[in-house]
Amino acid sequence: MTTNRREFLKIAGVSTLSLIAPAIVCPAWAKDKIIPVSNSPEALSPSKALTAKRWAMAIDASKCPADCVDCIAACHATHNVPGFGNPKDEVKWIWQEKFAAAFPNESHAYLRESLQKQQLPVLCNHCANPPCVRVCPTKATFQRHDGIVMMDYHRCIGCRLCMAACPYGARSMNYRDPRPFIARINPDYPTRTKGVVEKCNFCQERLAKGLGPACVVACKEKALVFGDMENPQSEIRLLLEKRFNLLRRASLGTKPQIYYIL
Amino acid sequence: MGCSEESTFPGCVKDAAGRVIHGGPVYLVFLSFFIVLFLAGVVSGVYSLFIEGSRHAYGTYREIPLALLIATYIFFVVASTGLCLVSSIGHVFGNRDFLPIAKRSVLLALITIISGFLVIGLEIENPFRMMLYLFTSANLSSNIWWMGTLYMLYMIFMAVEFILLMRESHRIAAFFGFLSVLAGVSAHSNLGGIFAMLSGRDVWYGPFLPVYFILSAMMTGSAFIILFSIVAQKLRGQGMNEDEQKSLALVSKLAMLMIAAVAFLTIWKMITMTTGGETRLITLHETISGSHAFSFWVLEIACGLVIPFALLLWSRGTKRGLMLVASGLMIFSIFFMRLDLVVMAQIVPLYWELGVREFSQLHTYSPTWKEILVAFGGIGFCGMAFLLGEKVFNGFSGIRCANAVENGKAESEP
Ligand code: SF4
Ligand code: SF4
Repeated sequence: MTTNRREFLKIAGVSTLSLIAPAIVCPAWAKDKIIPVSNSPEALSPSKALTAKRWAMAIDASKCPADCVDCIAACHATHNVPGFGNPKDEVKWIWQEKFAAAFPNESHAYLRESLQKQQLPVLCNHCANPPCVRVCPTKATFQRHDGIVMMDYHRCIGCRLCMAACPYGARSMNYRDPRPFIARINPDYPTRTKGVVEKCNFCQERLAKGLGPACVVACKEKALVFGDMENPQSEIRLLLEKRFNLLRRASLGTKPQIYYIL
Repeated sequence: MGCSEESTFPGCVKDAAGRVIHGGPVYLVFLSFFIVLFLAGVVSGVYSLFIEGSRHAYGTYREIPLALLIATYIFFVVASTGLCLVSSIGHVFGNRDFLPIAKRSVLLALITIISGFLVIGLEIENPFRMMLYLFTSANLSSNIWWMGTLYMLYMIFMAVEFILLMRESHRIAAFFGFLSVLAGVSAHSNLGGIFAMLSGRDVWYGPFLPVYFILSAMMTGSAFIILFSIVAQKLRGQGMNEDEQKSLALVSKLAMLMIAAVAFLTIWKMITMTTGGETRLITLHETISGSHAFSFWVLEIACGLVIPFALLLWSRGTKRGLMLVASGLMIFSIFFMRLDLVVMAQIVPLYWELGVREFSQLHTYSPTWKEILVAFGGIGFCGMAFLLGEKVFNGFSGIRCANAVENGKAESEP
C-alpha cells in the first residue's frame, strides 16, 4: 500500500467516523417524558383537587359575543400578567385572533366571510407532543402526567428557544421586570422576574384547590369547556363527539389539546 | 514555545510581554483598538442585560426572539469548528501539506469559540442560572443542551491539543485533535439541529441546516486561516517559508471548493422554497426582491461567494494580496449569511391571513447600537487574542515543520 493510499484511507475512515458521531449523540432518541417526580398526580393532589388523565379544552367561539374579553381579563388578573403597553414585549396568556389568522391552513379566499373574521380565543395548546418541552435545555418547561405543560420560572435561563419552537406564538418573555406593570397583584399567584418566559398553565394552581380554570369560570356564555379527554363520559368528550372541531396546525404533529368547535 | 528550552516560566512570560510591548506602533494601535472594542462590548452587554433589560437595549422582541447576537454566536462557533476541521487535516489525519498551519489554526479555533461563548453569555437573559441548571437539570432531548455541553468539551480538548502541539508532542496532540473534531462536529451538527428540528418554522425545518453548517464551517475556517496567516506574516515582517506557502495554496483551493458547495446548497434551498407553501414563498420573495435583497445579492452572494471565488481563482494560491481581500470579504459576508439565516425564518408572523401578501405585515428587525457593540465585543476579543497570541508564541516561528512531520512519522510508524 503506498503512503498516499494509506493516508487517503486513514482520512476517509476517520472522517466517516466523525460524521457518524453526531448521529450517535442525536437528541431524538433521548426524548424522555420529562416528568419531575414531584409532579405525579398523587404528590400534587390534596383530596379535593381536580385531576384528570389528560386535561383539554374545547372552545365554541360562535357563542362569544362581539368585544367580550371576560376570559382574558380573568386569566390575566389571576396570574399577575403585566401590561407593558407595547406589542413588542407584550405578555399574553390568552388573547384573540381572527379565524383566518389562527387557522391559515384551513382558510381560503372563498370561505364564509363571517367565519374568516370570527374572533377566537387563543392560548397555549398544552400540546401532547410539545416542541417547547423538547427544546428547553434546563427542563424549565416540562410536561405533567395530566398533560399540562408548565413552567418552572426559576430554572428558565431566558434563551428564548421555546419561543422560537412554539408554532403557536403562545410564549412571552419578560424583557423587563414585570412587577411595576401589574395592575393589581394577586397574592395567590407568584409574580415573575425579568428574563423568564411565561405562558398559560391551565390554572394548575386552581385545579389543585378544586377550582376550574379562571377563563372557563369567567365565561358567562359557556363557550369554554374544560375536562378530561381520556374519560369518554366527560363533558368535553361528549361535546366533541357531537360537534365538528379542528386543531390548530395539527399537521405539525404537536397534538394540541385545545379543540375549536366550528 | 517561543522561548528557549532552558528558560523558566517567568522568563518566558517576561519575554512574551517584551515582544508585545515592542511590537511596533501599528501593532500596538491595532491591539489597543481591539481591547477597547472588547471592553466596550462587555460593558454594553452587562449594562443591557442586568440594568436596562434586554428588550430595551437590544432589538429582539416577542416575535423575533433570536437575532444579531445569536447570529454572532453562530458565526464564531462555525468559524471555530471550521478552523478545527481544516487544521485537523494536517495534524490529525496526517496530510503533511496542512501541517504548517496547524498551530495557528488551533489557537484561532480556541479564540473564536471563546468569542462565541462571550457573546452568548451576554445574550442569554440569565447566564449564571445557565451554568447551574445546564448540569443539574439537563434535558437530554434538547439540541441546545447537547450543543452547549459538547462545545464545552470541545473547548477543553482544543486547549489540551494546543498545549501539546506547542510542546511538539504530536502524537498525543493528534489524539486530542481527533477528540476535538468529534466533539466539534457533533456540537456543530446539534447547532444546526436546534433550528432544523423546529417543525413550526418552515424555513429552518429539515435536514438542510446541519449539512449546510458543516460545509460553511469549512468555508469559514479556510477564510480565517488565509486571512490570519497573511496578517501574521505581515506582523512578523518576514516572508513565508515554502511549506507555509504550499499550505496556504491548498487551503485556498479548499476554500474555493467549499464556496462552490455552499453556493450549490444555497441555489437548491432557494429552488425548493418556490414550492414549499406560503411562508417559504413570502420569505423567498422578501429575500430576493424585498427589503433583504441588498443583503442577499450584494452582501451574501457577491461578497461571500462570487467575488472571493473569482479572486481566489485569480490568485492561484500565490498572490497573497488577492487572497487577503478574498478571505476578508468572505468573513465579512459570512456574518451576514448567519444574520439572515436567523432572522429571515422569523419575519413571517405566526398569525397571518392567507392570501394577504402584504409585506407590511411582516416582522422587521433592526439591531440597536448596544447590541452591535456586544457583537463588536466578540470581534474585539478575537482580534486582541490573535494579536497577543502571535507575539506570545512568537509568530509560531518555532514550527519545525519538517522535523514535526518526521517526528510524527517516526512516532506513528513502528
Ligand atoms: S402551544 Fe406552544 S407553548 Fe403551548 S405546549 Fe404547545 S408548543 Fe408549548
Ligand atoms: S427561555 Fe426558559 S423556558 Fe424557554 S427554552 Fe429557554 S430556559 Fe426553557
